[in-house]
Amino acid sequence: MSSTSELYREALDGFALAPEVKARMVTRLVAALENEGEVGGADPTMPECSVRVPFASHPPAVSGLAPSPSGRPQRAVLPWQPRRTGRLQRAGASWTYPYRIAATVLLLMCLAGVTSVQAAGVFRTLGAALSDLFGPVSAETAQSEGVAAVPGVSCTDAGLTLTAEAVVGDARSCVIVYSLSTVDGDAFDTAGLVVKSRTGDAYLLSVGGEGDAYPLLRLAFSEVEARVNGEMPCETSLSLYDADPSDNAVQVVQRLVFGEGQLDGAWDAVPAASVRFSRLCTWDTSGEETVADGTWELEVPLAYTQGPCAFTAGQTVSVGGHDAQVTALEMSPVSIHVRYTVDTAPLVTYGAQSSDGQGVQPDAGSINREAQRLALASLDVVMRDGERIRVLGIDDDQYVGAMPSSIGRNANGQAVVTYDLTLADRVVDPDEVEAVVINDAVEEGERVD
Amino acid sequence: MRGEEELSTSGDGRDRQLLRGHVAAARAEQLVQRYADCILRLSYTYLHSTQDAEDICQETLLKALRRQEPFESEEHERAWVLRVAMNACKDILRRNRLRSSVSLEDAPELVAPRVQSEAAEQDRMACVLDAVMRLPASLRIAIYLRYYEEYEVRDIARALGCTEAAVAARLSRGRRRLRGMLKGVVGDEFDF
Repeated sequence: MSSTSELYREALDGFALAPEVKARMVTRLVAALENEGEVGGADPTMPECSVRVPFASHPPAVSGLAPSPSGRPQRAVLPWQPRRTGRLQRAGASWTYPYRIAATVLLLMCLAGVTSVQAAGVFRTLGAALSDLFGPVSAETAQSEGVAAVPGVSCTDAGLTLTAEAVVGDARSCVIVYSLSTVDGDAFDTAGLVVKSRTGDAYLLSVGGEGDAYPLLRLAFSEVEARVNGEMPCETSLSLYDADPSDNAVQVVQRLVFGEGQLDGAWDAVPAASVRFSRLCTWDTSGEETVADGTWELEVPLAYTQGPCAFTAGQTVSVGGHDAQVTALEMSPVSIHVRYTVDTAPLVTYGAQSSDGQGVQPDAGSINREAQRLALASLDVVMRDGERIRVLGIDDDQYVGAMPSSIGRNANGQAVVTYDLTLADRVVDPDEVEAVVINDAVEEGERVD
Repeated sequence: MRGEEELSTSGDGRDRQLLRGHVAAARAEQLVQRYADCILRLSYTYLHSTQDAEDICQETLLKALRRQEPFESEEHERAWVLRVAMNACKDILRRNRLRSSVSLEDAPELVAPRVQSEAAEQDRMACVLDAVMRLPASLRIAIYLRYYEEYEVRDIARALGCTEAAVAARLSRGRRRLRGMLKGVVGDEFDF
């Protein structure tokens, strides 16, 4: 009698395309290549499985490269081609510039060490440090702008060593990955420290794709301070998880979001994040309990090369029933910055672009209503291998993304809306991005053309 | 041969175009023979349907033909093709929200005739396939890649873009669920 695996294989062996179907497929493939002119050329037609989005009625102006504020060379971007489905597609080339060499050297220094467990902590390669959090990180992605190893930055106190392992970011935000390891090599007992909901489900720190995640731990520092360029970041968050319960370390992920212009001028050198963590404790509904009463202070160089990938703008989309023109679209491995001008006046302004004068703050309800009125419906990043990452909008019945970071008014009285969206659990190599799709309008159950 | 000399020395653009066309056709044929059935099975595993298989196959293999960077090995090529096909499946899944399954008999044009076997064996085969198809997608795909494609865990991780630990966990959870579903059907022959 056949075993289950044999029966399974036999069942699937019955799936085979008929020879005439295969022959037809070869013909179509060759015809598609001939239409493009040569193998490897850009496909001017949308694939059959494309998504229908509002048609861009105004052809964009072809614009050249805008100089970066610091005058440093930017990645070369060719003018994008207007497409029927309103996708912004970059057919770019990349410059090499001096800072990329520095990042590569740091990476090579880190990769020279084989993954190993040492008594003083866990030393891991950059790829391993990032891959727990973001899924497998290829060597090519790790060498791109926005990613850097942080060799030799650690601090020991109260029997624990905090080691910065990698930093990922751009001019607006960064993520620092640390390991926190026991000096004596004893394993961290985290089995009873998983954060759980009322139903008993663990809260998970999302990792990579396919829903992989590590449980968040009921571990926290009683005090956390971070300064960049002498100033506190606008937002900071901290999460602890345990990638390998059998080793003597847990992982710490810190996200810092900088204020607009906070780091202007800082990128001519290598800015550093001065971080200070105090008193590690566990917490539950009854209070806190100290695990290690120590203080860990580090200077973490933000040694990534922050050269955001710029898409030339000009795309027209529909927002709240009004036409809106995208005036800026930039991507880094960890975030997306979008700015657009809406053909209507804002009812309130807020954030960095607020023009309502000192002391006049709109109430939260007004801000929320205006944000909803002028918000984008969705924003997706489409990778070259076809993967689609929803950064803003409804994804599997859940809302992802955030409200606009600011709404302002330009000289013509039009609303200027800015989003600074983080790729919450991904490191994306901008070179692998095929397109950014804004306001993807999909009608459920309807097959696209 | 004279024709070849003409191609190499004449510099005729039309001859070079002809040669490129032959190379492209040969490469397309190779890819179709190598991966079309695999993509069909993957589409069924993902979507409970073979209806979109030809489109997914076309889109995937066109990307492979257009790819300029050479693959490191045939294994690398296979993992890449599977990854692109899976992304195409997920795209369709999200857009069409297909829930119902389509039997093979509804797509006779696409699929070649199956080999007939004893009725009892057919029933057991159907039970096993049905059990796998009732698993959640992430477990189903891991079981398919391990037990049909016979990938090692590290290769499955590479194809799915996740960690090896995640793959091991999915296989373990998948096996546990299958054992429960197939209890009484296969007895000692359970070897997932």
